Amino acid sequence: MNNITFGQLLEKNRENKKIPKTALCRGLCTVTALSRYEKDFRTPNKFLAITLLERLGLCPYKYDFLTSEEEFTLSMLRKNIEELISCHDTKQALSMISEYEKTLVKKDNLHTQYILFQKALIVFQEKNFEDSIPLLEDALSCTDCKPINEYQNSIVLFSNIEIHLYYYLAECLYSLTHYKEAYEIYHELKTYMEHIECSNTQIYSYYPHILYRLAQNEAANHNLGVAYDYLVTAESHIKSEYKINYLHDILKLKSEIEQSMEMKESSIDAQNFLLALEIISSSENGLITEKGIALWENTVKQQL
Amino acid sequence: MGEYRKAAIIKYTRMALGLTQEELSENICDPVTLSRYENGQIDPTDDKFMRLMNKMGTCGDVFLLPVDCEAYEIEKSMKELLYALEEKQWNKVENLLNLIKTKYKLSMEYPENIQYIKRIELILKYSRQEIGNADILKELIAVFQITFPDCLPDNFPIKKVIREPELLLLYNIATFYVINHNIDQALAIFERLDQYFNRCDVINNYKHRYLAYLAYANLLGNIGKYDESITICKQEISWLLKHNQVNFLYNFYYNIGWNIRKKIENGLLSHESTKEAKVYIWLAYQLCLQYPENKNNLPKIIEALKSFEGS
Repeated sequence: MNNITFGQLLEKNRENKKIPKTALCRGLCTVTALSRYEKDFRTPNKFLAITLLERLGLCPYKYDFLTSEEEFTLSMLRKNIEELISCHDTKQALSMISEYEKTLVKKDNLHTQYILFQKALIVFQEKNFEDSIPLLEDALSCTDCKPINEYQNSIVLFSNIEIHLYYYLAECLYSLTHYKEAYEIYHELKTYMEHIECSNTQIYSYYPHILYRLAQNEAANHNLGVAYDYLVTAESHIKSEYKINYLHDILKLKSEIEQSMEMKESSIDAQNFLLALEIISSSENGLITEKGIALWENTVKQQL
Repeated sequence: MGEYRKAAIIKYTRMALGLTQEELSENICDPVTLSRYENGQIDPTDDKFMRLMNKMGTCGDVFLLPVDCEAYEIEKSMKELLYALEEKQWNKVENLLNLIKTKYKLSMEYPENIQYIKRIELILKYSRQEIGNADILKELIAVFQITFPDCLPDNFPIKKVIREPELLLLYNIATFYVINHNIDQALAIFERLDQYFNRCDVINNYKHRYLAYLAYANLLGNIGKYDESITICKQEISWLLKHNQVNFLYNFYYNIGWNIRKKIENGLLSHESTKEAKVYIWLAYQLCLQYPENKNNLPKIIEALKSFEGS
């Protein structure tokens, strides 16, 4: 294995990508501190180290690094919190967040941001979008993030969590029918994702859904050609990355636009694939349900 | 600030792996001494430190930021190479391997690099029919034992951190155990891999988890353990969908359909379940067709679908 240090990794990537120190350390640490990290005079804590790597577009999980007892406990707690939230176990998740706050020896901006984000997610899951917004905005302010449309023409870098925050903010605004503000954020996120040089593929996880949202907007404004292009790109991205989330909605809208534009009718293969996605989404624990089988029977059986 | 002292490194690696002090210290030092290392009361010698770290599957040489490849610039080539290997693009594999060895000069000082290269070289030899089934199995086991000198593959320690080259070796060894009709050893590897992947601290970002599970499900189906095979497929479908990662997904749907059919043929299920089998194989067809999967399996799936005609 190569003896590359954390400082070397940071400095080399930052310089190769011609990123100024101010952009990398915005809201995280001072330029002086960053310089010391790059020269290996000091080592940041793990959370800060991960965030710096994410902003540089690197996938921090490839790099093993070891921590203090507090950081170890916190990283295990974070894993548990995220698992509980993904299972919609709100009560336990909130209890675990409380434990996280108690474990913190010193509450710094990254941990505060993390806590606020998880709380915002819980509230978002309960479809309480109005209460989620201030939590998301407070979280963004922890690392000096401005409204995303104020970054035009300047070099800006985002960590994974900052991308999550902007995305969920847009989703809240969209759900509350504040479409103009929502679309501004989606558009800026799309631009960021298309221009950043990044090996950290996690930041692209929202890209297809963002394209879908923008396509919805364009379709509503009768710009069907633009909407269609977004959907084709989204579909291609999802398939090439072997993902599946949002694909059904994307293909459904694409099919509707094809009909509106009187394009050639979707092929049987395309229609069948849409049906397949519907059956898969209705499955439980990996098994197809009776409902899924009935759906198939009503549509496809005669083709076989 | 993070502490990157040997004490913390030993302690937190051990904790992340769920090892006790007794387990880690065995054959290296006594547990009391290990405890003193972890508290910082005694500084372990470099040799003791290396041995402890090696036992836990990490190289003690670099403790600040071990990187899993010689230089991260070649990461892209190594990723491409593994993909080409999966797709059996042998010329491309050979070219990339030469590139990694000559241009990037991948160091053969490190055991994980040796394993990475030797495994691929053996597979290339096999593809050119320069080595037989029994011999490649023997050679793969020897490569595996570079980092696991004291155990056989079907008894690998579940509590260690298993690196990607090692996981791939285990998968290849299990596959060749099957080819050589050593079914029990193959099953033992897969069962242990299943336990390993289910450890809550393992980051399951290894793409080849599903390769292992697919081979496991195939083997179970082929030896008549249809329900067990379906359970594995079901588990993997859930995992893949939960993680929004659908490489090889179609294979698991196909396997469920195939297993249901086998159960019907063997009188374990009524003929009414034929419809269910059809739907699974139909789903497999749709996914294989639409995703940029290798299409080599498509004819087999189409044939399976056609065989339902009239039933």
